[in-house]
Amino acid sequence: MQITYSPADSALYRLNPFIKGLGTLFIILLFSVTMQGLFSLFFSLVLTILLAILFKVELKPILISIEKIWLLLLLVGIIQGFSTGNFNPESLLIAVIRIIGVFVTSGIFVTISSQSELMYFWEQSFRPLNLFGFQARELALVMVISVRFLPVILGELDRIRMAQMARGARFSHGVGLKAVKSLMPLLIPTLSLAIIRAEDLALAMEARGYCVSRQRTRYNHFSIGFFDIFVCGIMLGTILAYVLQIRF
Amino acid sequence: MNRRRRLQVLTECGMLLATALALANFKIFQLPGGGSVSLGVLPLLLIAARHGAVTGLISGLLMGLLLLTMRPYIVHPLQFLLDYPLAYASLGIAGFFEWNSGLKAAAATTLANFIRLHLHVIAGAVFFVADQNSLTKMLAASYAYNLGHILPETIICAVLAGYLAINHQALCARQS
Repeated sequence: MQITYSPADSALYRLNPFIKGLGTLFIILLFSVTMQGLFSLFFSLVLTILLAILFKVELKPILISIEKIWLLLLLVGIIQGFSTGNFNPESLLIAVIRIIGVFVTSGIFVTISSQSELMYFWEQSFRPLNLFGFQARELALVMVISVRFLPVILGELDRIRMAQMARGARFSHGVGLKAVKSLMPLLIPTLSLAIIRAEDLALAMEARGYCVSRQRTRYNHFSIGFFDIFVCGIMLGTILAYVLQIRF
Repeated sequence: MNRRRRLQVLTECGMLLATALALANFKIFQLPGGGSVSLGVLPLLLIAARHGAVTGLISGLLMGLLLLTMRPYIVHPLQFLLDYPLAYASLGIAGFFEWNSGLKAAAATTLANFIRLHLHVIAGAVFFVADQNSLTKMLAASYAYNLGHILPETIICAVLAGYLAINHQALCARQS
């Protein structure tokens, strides 16, 4: 089962994408960087999962996917557990909960963000790059093109595969170099078609008056609502509490 | 670079990234350890060869971010940076050399993949260990795991890059 976007309707889904990303980063840092005891880490993990269930997030694929990282969990658990020489179950549990916490949080972020929301998030995050001469809008354009044309390219790949098979090509046939060679009739048309298609797309965009550096309107509008400000408040409050706890 | 040419480069990067994502789903063979070998990195290497290292590095960065939606696998913030954006960005290094002979193309591809291997190894090991003694053990385990899927990918990519540079020079020559 793969972790992908699964649509639902709740306050968490309606958050501004940028706040969503920021919140995810915040919780990930909370799990991985801060010095917390076993009890507070465990409490954070349970709270994250409870909130996810309350806001109708589909958790099943994420929890099933934890088995993909069992090797890492096992290795880290053993190494941390025996780090002081004799077995110490507390540091083992802390290490394992930290990793599971980050994994579950990032899984929730991917589950609640649609493709266009993610694009928006990355575009906003690239904005500081404008200071160094990179155009955030150009980077976002490349990402949008690749996401929009992925289904087209997949279809094309399938079409070329069928056509070459009709001509007698056999894929994944043989071992080693022979197998690689059998992929050639599939690979070269795909790559050259992608390049030709890119030229056509550039011409079509230009013919419609597209200009890379201009300000333009958006298809999806994301506004900041009451709940967004509330979430920001919670994050600021937690940071404040953490800093105060360290100082005093 | 004038505006027209710039738009062409942008659309080409977008299309080749889409091809890279499509090929990343197309598994050549599955390894018993959990990793899989695919040709997802070849279009990225092609971007680097056609438009230079900087464009290749940035495209790799974007590829890493896009792959995140397909297979999220984050266990530490720094591991995310190394495993997704930086590992794929390192493939842009193949663009420091022009692919005008088969050997050069294969060497550039191998170098880029070599650096990518090390980013994956560091991502897999460093942030989860406590002391010097366990670090070496963890690094060894990480090497063993990552070599399992990057070594076959590197060999396949190097052979394909060499073949492309010899027989399809128009596809991978530097566009200026």
